[in-house]
Amino acid sequence: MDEAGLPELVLPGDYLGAAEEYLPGRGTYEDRGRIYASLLGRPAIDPTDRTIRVDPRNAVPEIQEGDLVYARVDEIKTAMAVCTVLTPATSRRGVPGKPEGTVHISKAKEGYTETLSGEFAVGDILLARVLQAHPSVKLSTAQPTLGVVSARCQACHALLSLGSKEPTCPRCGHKERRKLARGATPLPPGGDGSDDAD
Amino acid sequence: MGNIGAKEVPVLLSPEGLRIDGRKLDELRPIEIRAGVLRQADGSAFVEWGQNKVMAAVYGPREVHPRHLQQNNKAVIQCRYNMAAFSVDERKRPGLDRRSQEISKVIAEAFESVVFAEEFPRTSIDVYIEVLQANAGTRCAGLVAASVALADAGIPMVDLLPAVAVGKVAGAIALDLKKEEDNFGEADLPMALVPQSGRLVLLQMEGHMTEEELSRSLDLGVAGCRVIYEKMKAALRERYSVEPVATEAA
Amino acid sequence: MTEEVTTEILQTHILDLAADGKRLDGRAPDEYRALSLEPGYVVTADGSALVRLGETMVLAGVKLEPGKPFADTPNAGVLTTNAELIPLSSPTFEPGPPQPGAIEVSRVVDRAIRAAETIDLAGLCITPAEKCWTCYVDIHVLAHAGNLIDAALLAAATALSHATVPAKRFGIAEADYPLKVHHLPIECTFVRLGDTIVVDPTFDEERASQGRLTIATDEAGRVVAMQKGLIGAFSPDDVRSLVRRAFVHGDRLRASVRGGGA
Repeated sequence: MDEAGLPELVLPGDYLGAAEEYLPGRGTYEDRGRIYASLLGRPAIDPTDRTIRVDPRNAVPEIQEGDLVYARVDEIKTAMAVCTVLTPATSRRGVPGKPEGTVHISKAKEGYTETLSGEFAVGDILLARVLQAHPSVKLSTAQPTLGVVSARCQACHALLSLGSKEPTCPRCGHKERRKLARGATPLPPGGDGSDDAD
Repeated sequence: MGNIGAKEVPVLLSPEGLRIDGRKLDELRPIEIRAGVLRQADGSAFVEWGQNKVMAAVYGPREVHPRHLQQNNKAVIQCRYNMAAFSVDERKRPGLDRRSQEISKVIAEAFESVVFAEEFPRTSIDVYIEVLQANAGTRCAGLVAASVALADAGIPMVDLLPAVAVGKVAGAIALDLKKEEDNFGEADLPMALVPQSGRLVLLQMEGHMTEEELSRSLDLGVAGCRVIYEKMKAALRERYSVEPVATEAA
Repeated sequence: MTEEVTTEILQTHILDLAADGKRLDGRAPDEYRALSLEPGYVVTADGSALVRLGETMVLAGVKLEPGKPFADTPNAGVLTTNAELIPLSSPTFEPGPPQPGAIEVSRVVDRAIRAAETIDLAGLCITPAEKCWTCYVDIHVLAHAGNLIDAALLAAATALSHATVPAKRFGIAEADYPLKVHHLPIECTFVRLGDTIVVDPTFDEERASQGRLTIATDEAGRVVAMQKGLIGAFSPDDVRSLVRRAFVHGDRLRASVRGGGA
């Protein structure tokens, strides 16, 4: 079976090829010398090492270097903000296990950051880029389009209006400082009643 | 309707060997499967099988509730099989009775036998099965729906899990009992098959059969599962809109 | 799920849009979602209906069984309404005992059916003080995409409108007969999004809202039940204007239920 002969879609349990011929890759498993699909998706062969894999449809999200993700700030330390990675920006599904990710003070914004508490607050939701996925998740918001996308008033806990330069509480008028994501925030897919693209 | 009116045993098998609904002994009831029917779930499926209507949804891998069930080396698979109050002739009190809890457990264990749960440590894969209309064989219909929903949710597993019940009616071994046959028959043997390995991961039995009858029942059930397997695959192909391909001879 | 993210990010977005009289799904503030009704969906029930309101899906089943009347109403049948918000229907529902949300849906639907005198309870008496019909209305929420109360009552009202009293099956009469339905109550739910009040909220609009108001009306021009829910407030003038809107929606939706179709 060569690349051209592969079906467009395979289902769990579908036979893909013999183990003498291929190496079992992602979305496959080997059983007694035979390789089967474990995921629903499109099969592909890497010609360099003869690895056969299945690129899943409706995949369980995983964090990969370069991805945009939403993360919630849990704690602010001197040199970093500790976050929970919630979901990739392109998926409506959460990342299993909600792994911890960190934003180092040097990656909080473009230019020098005096103190992180002037940029983020606990509970903020960030749009961030994954700098490193393994072994620990490292995030960056040092781009104009990245940063805080949702924040609550430190005084009264209402959602802050982030439209202006200075985030303001619509309820109590309290003004705060944040490293805001500028530009159109991608809405999480499926949250608006529109159909998911898969 | 139901047991209330039925005072005597109906004729379950005609002299020509046809069953109460005209089926042959090795014939399944009509089955329709649709994948991806619920937008809010990570995976879902609806199965209409004879007069059974069953919906299944999968959520996860996600956080484990309750927390103490969390496992550090793999995902836990939690299953909830539930019947709507109006799904049976005599109204069922809402909530999980002992029967539903037992069925939930054996279905969860069937899936644990095929899902690569170690890929998602410290998470839960939640499988919900709702029986909306029941007419014998709901655990098999639920398992089929849930299996399609798991594939739809992108959960890695060894294979899909087709399931069917075999029984004994009027002394004959018959595939896929309907309600009258289940109520008045002599045995019921639900099973779920892993087609890839040919092994059974759900097997229950109630009633009485000889060793020879049981042996034939297993063969009949496995053959029935293989038919259902193709319908499950067709439903998933339709959902992801790909024409059926000729499966390579293994 | 992205529930946490959607909640936070969409809230801001929904409120911004509402300030301009717009909604995330493109509807006008006073626009109801598409409704489809499928009576007789479940053959094991004496009456049933599958209702789809946008992405919300609710199945109601009616069952009638002989029982004993309550001591204080010896000449009347018994009506029991129960809603189940099963965990299949939303990533936010967990298995376990009935949640306050499910109980609220049950009770608000029950109040509307009772107050509008939807079914003639006296007609469900078989032998005074001894035997009567118990009418169970079970509401099964299959997909929670907002406005469960309206969808649940639409499902219940449609199921009751198409229900049969199984008198023959229980040996009480020679033949089964249709359940008599008098008035059809219709619930109409609104949420406040800033200064805008929108009808038939989606799940995300409910989350973003500052108060929810449900108004049930019948065709006799009566308001038969109300329920203010969620955190937020309405002025008496708000209520007066929403009652007017509820009658208009009620008349239109009632025609769908009477027609028994979409």
